[in-house]
Amino acid sequence: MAQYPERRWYTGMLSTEDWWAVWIALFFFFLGLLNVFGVDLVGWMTYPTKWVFSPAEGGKGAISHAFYALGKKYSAHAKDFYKGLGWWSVIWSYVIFGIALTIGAAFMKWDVKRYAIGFTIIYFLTIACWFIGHHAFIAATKVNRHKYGLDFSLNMGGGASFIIALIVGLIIGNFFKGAANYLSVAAKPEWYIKTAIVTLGAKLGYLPIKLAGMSQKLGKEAAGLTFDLFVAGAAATIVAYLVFWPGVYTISRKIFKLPRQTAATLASGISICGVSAAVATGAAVRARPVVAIMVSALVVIWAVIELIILPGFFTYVWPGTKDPLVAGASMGMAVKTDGADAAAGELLDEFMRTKIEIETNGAVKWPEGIITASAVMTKVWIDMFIGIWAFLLAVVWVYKFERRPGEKVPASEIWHRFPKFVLGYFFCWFFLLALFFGPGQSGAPEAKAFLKNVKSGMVPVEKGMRKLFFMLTFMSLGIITDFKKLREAQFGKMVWVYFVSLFCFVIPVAILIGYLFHHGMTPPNIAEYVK
Amino acid sequence: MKAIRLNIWHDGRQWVASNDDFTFRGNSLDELDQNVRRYVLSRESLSRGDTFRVYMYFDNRTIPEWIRPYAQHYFDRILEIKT
Amino acid sequence: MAEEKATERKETLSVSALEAEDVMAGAEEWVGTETWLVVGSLIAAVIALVIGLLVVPTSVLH
Repeated sequence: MAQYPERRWYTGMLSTEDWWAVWIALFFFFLGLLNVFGVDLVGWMTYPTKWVFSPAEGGKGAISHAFYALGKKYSAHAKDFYKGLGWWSVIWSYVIFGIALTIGAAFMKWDVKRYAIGFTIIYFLTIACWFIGHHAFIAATKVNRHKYGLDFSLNMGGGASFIIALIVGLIIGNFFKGAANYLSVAAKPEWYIKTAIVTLGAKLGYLPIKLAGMSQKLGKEAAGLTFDLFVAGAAATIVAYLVFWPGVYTISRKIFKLPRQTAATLASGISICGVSAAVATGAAVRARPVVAIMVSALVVIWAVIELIILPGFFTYVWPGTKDPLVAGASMGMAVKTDGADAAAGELLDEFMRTKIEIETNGAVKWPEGIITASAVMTKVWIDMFIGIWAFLLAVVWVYKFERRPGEKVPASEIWHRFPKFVLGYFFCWFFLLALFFGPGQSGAPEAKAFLKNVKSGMVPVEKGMRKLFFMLTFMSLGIITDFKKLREAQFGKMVWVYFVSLFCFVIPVAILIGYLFHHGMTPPNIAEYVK
Repeated sequence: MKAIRLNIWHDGRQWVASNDDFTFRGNSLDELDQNVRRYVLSRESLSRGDTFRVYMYFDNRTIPEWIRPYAQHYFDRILEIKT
Repeated sequence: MAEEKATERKETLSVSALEAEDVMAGAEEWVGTETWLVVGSLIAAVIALVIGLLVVPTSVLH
């Protein structure tokens, strides 16, 4: 029998998705930063643009330009080279990301051949969805549709691609189960989203740099706003935690008459951070693993249902474009897996930005990513706190409820439960902030050249890589979500506890707390600086 | 302080804690701990007042593969046996 | 009981492979510690809320 060695603080650094999300994102992050030294090795990252079958004379949207290498637009050192890549950037991205991810898969001891084949299929399906979602009829808004010679379009912005990827994934996951099973080796929404979240950290740090390129004041405003989100997110999360858990625990115990260990595990799964909370709590209350496994099976499916419902609800019903960051923060507190939450946040970001542009006829434009960041910020705090919460719960359980003689709860449990990808997220964010306030001189004109080099390296990472990994997340989430499991599950009562708790308690409380801490916060308007 | 290290998991019916030399089982953690304690007290030569530590590291293979991306860790336990 | 040889074991468990009927049944009586846990958590929430609203610059109080 294989022996598990003693668990050290560095255990898993080369064998877990959590850490590999950090390594892969940081590799490309630093590759991008080589731009500061005059070398652009990231400009090949592919990005779609809106297209039509027959563009108007002199109009935009030729299919031949539907994908381009981001270096074409943003490279400070190799613009001409990257200009020539065009659709080939899709292949470059496939090969380079494919190799990086397969190396990760090999270290994690997955079936490398199956991963490589699975990734290839998922990647090209994702690219196809990205392409279709950017047809101007679907993506263009009334503000910009004329550029493509259209009189009508669906006004969906970039959100359409995500929805298409999710639908295609769900079709595979629910109707082609053999294929879904084969692809499951490479359908890793948590890995892709954690990688994307680390690059989102780069996005947060890059925002002030980007906006300083428009005006120095905007740059500082952006730095302030991201910091406000950080603080407000922390406060909202702590309060939400402490309200959600006892609420759902009481509902489970008093109304649904569940036993203590099940109620505690379920309460965490529904109210805190889904699967990781369910597992952490199941462990803390010393439940058999089956309890956490059952709760987790529910969590992943409900999270996808929330992903389908909430972005549209928050955008078109309440709070709409009046309070986009209330919506984002609430999303982070309400959607229970990292993948579904970040995906829902990104969808919300696309919906909200498209909506405000339409409502104001182009007079207001928000930079992308801030609403996503608000949804991820609360989630990241939740993910970080779970270790502490689970530790406290374990102490209460082991020392108060069960009083098992001689049992001790090691404090190292907090670290073992800490979401390691969060370290990468904060690292990228603060590293770029340090560059902005240090050599970037807060966007002062003298530092323009330096900041331009940083921009040249960061845009492919925070825009191209991040969006691609979000797209891969949507596709993979669909592939691994089998709604039939909800029906087959022999734990009918739990499905109802989940439904009642989520929709009647967790989501309303999340919105209320999100409102209390984020009301009135709005992304800066950059309409006068962008075409 | 004397100590042993064990892997712990749940086989669907019972908790199991084992290493290359021993396997302990129990329907509940209480029962498992009692079995470990009984063995330690009967076999190990401990003087009065000694504390014997049993480290139990969770074997993550118990957690289904699809859950591992979300949560890498179940629990580690320490059992202190005082004579 | 200590067996001298470790037994073979399954790599993973699935829901169907587990005996799980008792996970939903057999609710224990509600005890004082639970009240303490629930009420304590809510009190902590109220304290955190008040401090948060006062301290966080973007809260509705500002």
